[in-house]
Amino acid sequence: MMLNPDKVRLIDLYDPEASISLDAFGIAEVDAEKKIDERASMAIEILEALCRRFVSPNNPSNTAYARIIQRAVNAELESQRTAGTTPSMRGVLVRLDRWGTGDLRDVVNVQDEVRGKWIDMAQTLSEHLDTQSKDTLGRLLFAEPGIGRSMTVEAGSMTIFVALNLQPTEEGTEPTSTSTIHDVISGLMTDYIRSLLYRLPDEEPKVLVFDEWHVIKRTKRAEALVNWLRRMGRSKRAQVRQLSQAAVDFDTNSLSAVWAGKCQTKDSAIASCTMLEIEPNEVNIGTLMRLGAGEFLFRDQKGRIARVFVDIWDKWLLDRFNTQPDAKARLLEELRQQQPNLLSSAVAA
Amino acid sequence: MGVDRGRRRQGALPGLHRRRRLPGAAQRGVPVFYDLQNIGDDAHQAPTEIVFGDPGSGKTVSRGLKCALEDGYKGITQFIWDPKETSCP
Repeated sequence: MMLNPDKVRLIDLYDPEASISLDAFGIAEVDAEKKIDERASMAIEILEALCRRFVSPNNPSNTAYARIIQRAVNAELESQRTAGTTPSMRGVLVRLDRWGTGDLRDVVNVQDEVRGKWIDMAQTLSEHLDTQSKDTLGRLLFAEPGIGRSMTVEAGSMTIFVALNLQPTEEGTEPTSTSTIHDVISGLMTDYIRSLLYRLPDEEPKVLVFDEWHVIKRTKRAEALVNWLRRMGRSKRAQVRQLSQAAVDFDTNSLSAVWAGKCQTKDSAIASCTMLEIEPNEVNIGTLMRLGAGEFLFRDQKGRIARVFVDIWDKWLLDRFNTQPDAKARLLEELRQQQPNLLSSAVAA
Repeated sequence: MGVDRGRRRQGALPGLHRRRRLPGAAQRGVPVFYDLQNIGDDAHQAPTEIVFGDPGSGKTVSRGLKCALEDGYKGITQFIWDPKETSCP
């Protein structure tokens, strides 16, 4: 698509060849000059989220579990200073496993009377985290730092986060082991977007695109992030673009521009009228229900509305936006024939 | 039909209406410069654009990602959260 491959970063959670390590120690912000080191806080936050049922206030031993996690993370960072090892979440896991077998050589100040209980708790955490590290997505949190491309924010880059089947905990339901992992990964991505805003100069234009918003908004952290962006984004020169299938998927507040496509039902058309700030009368509803492919009612930031047609003059390019399964399969086959190593080389770049 | 007289008095472009009917008959299109990056709304909040409609067609909504591609050509820093691989064949 004539984009500079060096500027495109693909994070595909389900494609091991196109993914990256989400190891907390590897992706946390470290800036010696500014005396910033978020490795410990990020690792502890992620481990506590993964071990939510052990550190939740409902668990009478929550403080002790949280303390073990903190000590494991601190010991991992300390070993970098003393032994020159690279700290990692995998290293924390190995350490907890060792403590769980009674090997406490690198732990000080554990009183004899609580030693047995302490070992049992370390073993419980180790077993729990070991299971999660084998999950399809959980493995990314424990992958060796540096695998795949860097998460460092770079000006001018396009980061595409393919979150196929990411299913965070639904509101009002009990978190499962898998949904907890998905919650953590969603949280990492929202934190990444925030860091993108703060790491880059304010004058650098930034765009945050959320496709299939009706799916993403189930992630409460992402929804909170977009609300925050609407308040804070202006000063950071950040623009938010949300795409979804129906007007009802969106919050009507703080919208600068609206593109309303064809509606299949009257209710959907009425919701679109509300979003466009036009009367939901028969004419407007009929117009919305009769729009053709590529036609939109567009409302700009001044409230002006027009019926517009969005076209892509290049058919080759237009086909790249066709998401029908057979069209996508044809496209992949075409790409493979043109450049057999294209997909893998783009990832390795 | 549905002429917004207030806007016409202020010299607004024809065919652009708010809280009125949309023009039913074909009218001449008027070029309007549109660049969301350089606008601010009345509340001085972040520019927010939404695109929706035509569920299941497989094109209309995804065509909203055309803007993301154009921004990519311009070298604008972007983050695209894509739950169904629309943006990366």
